[in-house]
Amino acid sequence: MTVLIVSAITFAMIDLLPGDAAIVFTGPETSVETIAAIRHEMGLDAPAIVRYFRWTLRAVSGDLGLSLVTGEPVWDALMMRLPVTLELLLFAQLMALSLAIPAAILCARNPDGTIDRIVTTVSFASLSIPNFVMAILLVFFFVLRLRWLPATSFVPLADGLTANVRSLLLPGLSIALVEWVILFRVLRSDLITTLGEDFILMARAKGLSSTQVLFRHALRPSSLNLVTVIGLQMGYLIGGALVVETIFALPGIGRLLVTAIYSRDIFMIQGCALWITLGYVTINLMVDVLYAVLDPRIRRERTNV
Amino acid sequence: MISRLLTFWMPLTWLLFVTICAITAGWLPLPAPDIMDYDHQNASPGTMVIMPKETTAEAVPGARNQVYWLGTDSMGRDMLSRIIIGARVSLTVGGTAPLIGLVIGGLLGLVAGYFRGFTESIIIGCMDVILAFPGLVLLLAMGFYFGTNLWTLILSLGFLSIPAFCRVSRAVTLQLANREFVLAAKMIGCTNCSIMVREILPNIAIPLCVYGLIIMALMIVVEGVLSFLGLSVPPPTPSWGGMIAAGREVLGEAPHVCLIPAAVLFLTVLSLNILGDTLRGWARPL
Amino acid sequence: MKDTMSTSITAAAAPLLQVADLSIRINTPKGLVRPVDSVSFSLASGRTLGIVGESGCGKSMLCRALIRLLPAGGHITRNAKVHFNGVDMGALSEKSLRLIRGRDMAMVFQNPMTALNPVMRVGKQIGENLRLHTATARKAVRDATVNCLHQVGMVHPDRYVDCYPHQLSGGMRQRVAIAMALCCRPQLLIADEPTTALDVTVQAEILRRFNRLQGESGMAIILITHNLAIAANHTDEVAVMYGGKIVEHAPTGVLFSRMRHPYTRSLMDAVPRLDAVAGEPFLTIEGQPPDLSNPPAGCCFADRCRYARPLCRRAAPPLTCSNNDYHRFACFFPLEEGEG
Repeated sequence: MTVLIVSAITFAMIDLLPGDAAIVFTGPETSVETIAAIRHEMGLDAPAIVRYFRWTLRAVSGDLGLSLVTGEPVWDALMMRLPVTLELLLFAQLMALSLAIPAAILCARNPDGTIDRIVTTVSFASLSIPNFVMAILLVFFFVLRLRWLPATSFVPLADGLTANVRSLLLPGLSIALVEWVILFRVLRSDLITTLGEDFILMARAKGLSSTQVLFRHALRPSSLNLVTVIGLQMGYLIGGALVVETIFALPGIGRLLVTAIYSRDIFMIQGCALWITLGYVTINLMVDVLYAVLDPRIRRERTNV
Repeated sequence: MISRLLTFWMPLTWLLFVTICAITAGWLPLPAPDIMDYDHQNASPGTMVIMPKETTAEAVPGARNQVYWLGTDSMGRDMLSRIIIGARVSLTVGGTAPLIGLVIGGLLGLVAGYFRGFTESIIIGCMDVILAFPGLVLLLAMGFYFGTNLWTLILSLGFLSIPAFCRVSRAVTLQLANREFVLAAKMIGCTNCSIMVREILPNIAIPLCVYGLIIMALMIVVEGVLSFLGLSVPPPTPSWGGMIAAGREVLGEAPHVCLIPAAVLFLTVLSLNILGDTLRGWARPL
Repeated sequence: MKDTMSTSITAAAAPLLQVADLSIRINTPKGLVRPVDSVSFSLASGRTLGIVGESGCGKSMLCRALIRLLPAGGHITRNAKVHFNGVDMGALSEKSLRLIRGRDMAMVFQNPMTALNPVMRVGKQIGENLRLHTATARKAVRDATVNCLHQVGMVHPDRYVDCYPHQLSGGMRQRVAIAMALCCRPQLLIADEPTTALDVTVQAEILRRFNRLQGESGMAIILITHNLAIAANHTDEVAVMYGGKIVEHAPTGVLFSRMRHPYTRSLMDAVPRLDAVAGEPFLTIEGQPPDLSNPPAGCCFADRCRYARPLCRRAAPPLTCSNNDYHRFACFFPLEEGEG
C-alpha cells in the first residue's frame, strides 16, 4: 500500500514539474502544431488521473513506458542497471559488516578499555566524513597517489570476478567506511548489555572460555537491533549509492535517476522511484522475517496474536 | 579533564568559530569570493601576491600585499572567502531545517505518544510513508519545481527530518506519559493540553535538542551532497559541496582546491557529532 | 533437620573443599569494596553446607569466588587458600579452571529465567555441558539430556527438551538449570538460592531431590539461602554470614538449638512464628548492614547488637571455636550455651 501512495505522489510531483515533456522529446525547434500532435500521441493531454491509471496498469504488466531521452524502454534500462546497484549495495554492506562485527566484539570484551576508546574515536571520525568526500579521498590516495586501483570503469560480473570486485572496491569502500560505524555502535552496545546478563555468567560457570561464550551465547541475542538497523540503512544507502555511482561512473539505478531528473525524463524518473521504493519495502519485510528467525520469543508472540 | 576538552570545548569552539566567520564575512579583510584572479589560478595556500597599483583617484596608493591564506581555486577565486561564504549556506541549512523537523516532528510525536490509539496509528502511518520515500527524489523534484534556492532546500530537508524527530519524541513521551507526575496532574484535573505542554514538553525538549545536533550534522552532509550534485543553491554562490565538486577536476595537480573544503566540511560535521554525543551522555539521567 | 540428624562433623578423609582466609576485593568507581573478608571453612563429600545471611552479606560473591568468576575489577587476595580435591585453585591456569567448572564444580543460580540463554533451546544448553565435559557421542547427547531432565523430576522431558526457556514455567526452568548443573555429575554443587523464585511445594520437592542425589553420588552441596527453614531442614552444617564474614558456623542441629552469636539469635527472632501472641510487633534487627567499602574497625554487627560493649567496636572478634572444636563463632561476648 505504501508503494501505491509513493508512486501516486511521485507521479503528481513530476507532473507538476515545469517543462513540457513533449518539448523535451521533440526538441525546442518544432512547431506548436507538431507539439500538440505529439502530446496527443503520448497521451499527455488526458487528465492526470487517467494518465496515472494508465501508467499503473502498464507498470504492473512490466511496461513502464519509453525513456523520453534515449527512446529505450524504461523497464530495460532499469533491469540493466538494477543488478549493478544491488551488487554495490550488498558489497558495501558486507564490507561494513566485516569491519563492524570484529570491532564491536573487540570493544565489547573490555568496555572503556584502551582498544574501546581508540576504536570509538576512530569511528567518530569515520562517521563524519560524508560518503562523497570519502570517495574523493579514496580516489586521491589509491588512484592518484598510489596508483593501486582504477578510478572508474565498471567491469560487470560476467567479465570476471576479480576485475568485477576490483572495480567495485573503491565505491563499496566509500559507502562502507561510513556505514560501519552505525552498525558497530549498535552491535557494541547490545553486546555489552548482553554480556552483563546472568546467563553469560552461567555459561562461563559451565566451563566455556570467553571466546566460546561470546560467539555461541552472546552474539545471537545481541544481533536483533543490528539486523533492524541493516534493514533501515539499506534504504538510506540507496541514496548514498546514488552519489557514489555518479562519482565512479557506475551504471546503476542511482546514476540513472540523477541523469533522468536532469533531463526531465518523466517515465524514467517514475520507474526509478518505483523500484527504489519497492526495494526498500522488500528489504524491510525481509528484516521482519529475519527478526523472527533470530529471536524465538518474537515467533511465539506472532503465533499468539 | 582532557576528555572534557576534546569532547566539548574543541567542537564547540570550532562551531562558534565557523559561525562567527560566516556572520561577519562582510567585514573581514578578504577579497570578495567571486573576484577571479586569472594570474593565480590554483595557487597553493599561503601564496602571497602583490596587487597591481590602482589608477583611479580613490585607490589606495602603493602596492598592497595580498595573501591567499588558503590558496585559490581553478578560477583564481580566493578559497578562504569562498569557504566562509559557503559556510553561510551550510550553516543556514543545517541550522534551520532541523528546527522545522524538531518543532513539527516533536509535536506530532508528543501527540502520538500521549493519546495512543487511532491518532498514534495515523501519525505513525504518515511517518512511515515519508520514510518509505526515496528522499533524494523529493529533494530533487522540489528543487526543480520551486527552483533551487535556499528556502526550497530548507523546507524539503525539514520535511524529511520530521519522522526522525517524531520517533524520538514519541519514545520519550511514551516513557513519561505513564509516570506519576502525569497521573498526578490528571487527577488534579488538568486538561490534556495543559498536561502535554506543562509536564511533558519541557522533558522532551532536551533529548530532542540534543538529537537535533546530530540531525544538524546530517543536514549539513546532505546539503553537501546536493551541492556536490549541483542541486543546491546555484552558482556563483559558493557552497562547500560545490567547491568539492569543482575541485575534483584538478585533484591531481592542485589537491587543496578539493581537499580544503572537504576538510572544513569534515571538521564541522565531526564537531557536531561529537558535541551531540557528549550532550547526549550528559542528558542521560532523564 | 536432615533425616540423618547429624550433630557432629563426620570425620571423613581430607575434605573435598578447604577454604582458608578467603577475601575478595573489588575496585568500583566508589572505591575498594570488600564483599568477602577472611572466610574459612571446609566441606567434606556428601555433606551439605548451608550459608545463611541477609542480602548483601557476601554470599553470592563467595560462590563466584569459588568458581573463580569474579566481576570485572574483582580479585581474590593473595593469601587466600582454596583447595578443591587437594588442588590449590589459586595456582591453576584459566584452562584448568575451565575444566573444573561445570564438571567438578557446578553452580545453580537464583533466577532461572535470566540464567538460561533465551534464544537457545534448553536441550541444547544442557547438551553443551555434556559435550564439553563428558565423552558423550554426538548422537547420544539428546538421550543423555532427556535422562538428566528425567532425573531432576521433569515430567515428559522429551516433550520439553526442544523448548525455549520462555515456553516453560518457573519450576521447569529451574529444573533445567539444575539438570544443566548436575548432568556431568559434579563433586560439588553450589546452589545460590535455588528455590527462592519458586513456590513452596516445588521448593520442597527440589530440595528433597538434592538430598537424594547427594545420597546416591556423594556430592557435596553448598546451599545459599536467606530462608532459615530451608537451612534447618536440608543442611548438615550452617554458616551464618554477616558483613562479608562468617560469624557463626556449626552443625545444623547445634546452631539452631545452641546458637552463640547475637546475630544468629536476631535472625531467629525475626522469623514470624505461628504461636506468637497476636498483635505483637515483629521483631526486626534495627539498623542497616555495614557499608562494605568502608568496614568498621570493630565487629561489623556491633552497631546493631543489643549486647555490644566498647571492646566490640574497637577490635574485630576472631572466629574461635568452642570446646568441641566444631562450633565456631566470632564474638567476644557470645550468648551463653543453652540460651537458644
